[in-house]
Amino acid sequence: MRALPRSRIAACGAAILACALLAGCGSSPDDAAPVAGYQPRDPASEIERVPARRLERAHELPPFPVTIAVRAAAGPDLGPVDRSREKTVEEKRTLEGAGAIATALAAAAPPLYAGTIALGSLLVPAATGLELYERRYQNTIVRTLQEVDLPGQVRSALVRRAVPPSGEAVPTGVSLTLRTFGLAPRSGTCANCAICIVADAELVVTQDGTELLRDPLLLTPWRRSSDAPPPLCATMKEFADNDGRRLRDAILETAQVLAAMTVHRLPAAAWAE
Amino acid sequence: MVAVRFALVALLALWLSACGAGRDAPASGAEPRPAAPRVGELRRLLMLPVAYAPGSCRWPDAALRLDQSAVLFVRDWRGYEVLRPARTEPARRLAIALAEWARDADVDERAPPPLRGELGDLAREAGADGVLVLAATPDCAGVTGKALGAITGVVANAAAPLEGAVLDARRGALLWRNAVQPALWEGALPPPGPSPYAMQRAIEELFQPLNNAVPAVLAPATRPN
Repeated sequence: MRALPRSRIAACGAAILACALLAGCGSSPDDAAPVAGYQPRDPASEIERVPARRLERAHELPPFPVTIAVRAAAGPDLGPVDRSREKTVEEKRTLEGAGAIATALAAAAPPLYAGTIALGSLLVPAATGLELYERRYQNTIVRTLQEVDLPGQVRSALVRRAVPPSGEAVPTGVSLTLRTFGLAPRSGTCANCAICIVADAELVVTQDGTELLRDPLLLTPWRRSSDAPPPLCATMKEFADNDGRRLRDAILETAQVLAAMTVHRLPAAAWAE
Repeated sequence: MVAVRFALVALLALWLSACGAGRDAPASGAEPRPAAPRVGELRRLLMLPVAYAPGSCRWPDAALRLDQSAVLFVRDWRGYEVLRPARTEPARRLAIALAEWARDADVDERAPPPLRGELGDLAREAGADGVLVLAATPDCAGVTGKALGAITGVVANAAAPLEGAVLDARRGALLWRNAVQPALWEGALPPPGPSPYAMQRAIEELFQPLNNAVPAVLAPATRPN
């Protein structure tokens, strides 16, 4: 058998190598990689949902007329930062930041849900963390909050929905106390972090001096009533832009939501359709 | 000669005045179209499986983490009720097709009829009034690969690593869309890929501009599904 010349073997080898290389380049290993399959499974919520109680009406009784009272709690009454809801390192940092602000302003701030930035705190430039926000945004936010009368808006919304008392029936008293209303960081305190409208109210229903129902209405980032929507969130700048229009809208919507939650919880009362 | 110059100046003036005229002025007497629902007016979103194309990344649980983070955010922070399709495989295929279509579609544009039909069927089965599409095409290429990708991206309109879209189930129209380059996905991330926190942040970045759903307590009791 005649041996092939060395030059031809080298040429053949080079050709085979080139072909293999080209073929390898053409195929992408990613094409064949299977996409990780998964079966969708809904995760548990990290939000604590507080059950909402309802005052139902007995079938044989007509809906009872109501008188509406809405008030805001007054006086400094800032509690300690609630750390029971800490979930992550990030959230822990948030709470620490908010706690620092809350502690610094305990004497000046209005009553607030622990772990939130007090509305009044925005007025105090020396407090920890407030240098994050630009002064002009602070001013707009504070002015807007002072201008929009949340208790008044809630009261108007409820009065519009209530059927005026008539006849001799003694109206049942529906009282809503806004214990907390303000802005809270959603997940971190920074200039561009989202802050949310928070509200914590208490609904009390009394009839002839007897208390029929006492229940909280919670709209906060991490703890909310089961019938409450998520809080309205935006950055400080977004809330302050256009002379605080977004914040104004958010407060008005919060008023409508609080009124609607009250109505939903009192099916026994006489509300307009 | 003077006449020619005058004619040239007149022509130039005419051309300049034409530049000022709007080309898109609406035709007078055109009938206004019925108003499409805004995204916040939807309540029950059908979340399709994540259209996940791993590319060169080896992130085994990425689709699952993205899916779970999206459900949490859209439900807990935007107030929508999230539903699942009864049939996963057709839904996954539809998600891939819709993500591809939505990339170049305009808001309020309707999906092509075959996609619209499938979308409507799945939404009806689940009782949803909207459909949520989430697509992820992470890029784990090195610096050279990213540079090449940037060049080809200019030419071929490459997809952003994370895209989301919401469609009106009734009309099959695109109501909302966003695409982001998640900050925490930067760099060559080895398996298993970004941390659960990075996935959650990416989802929040994507869905941050999505409007909250109209609160259930404010919505009429009998909303069409």
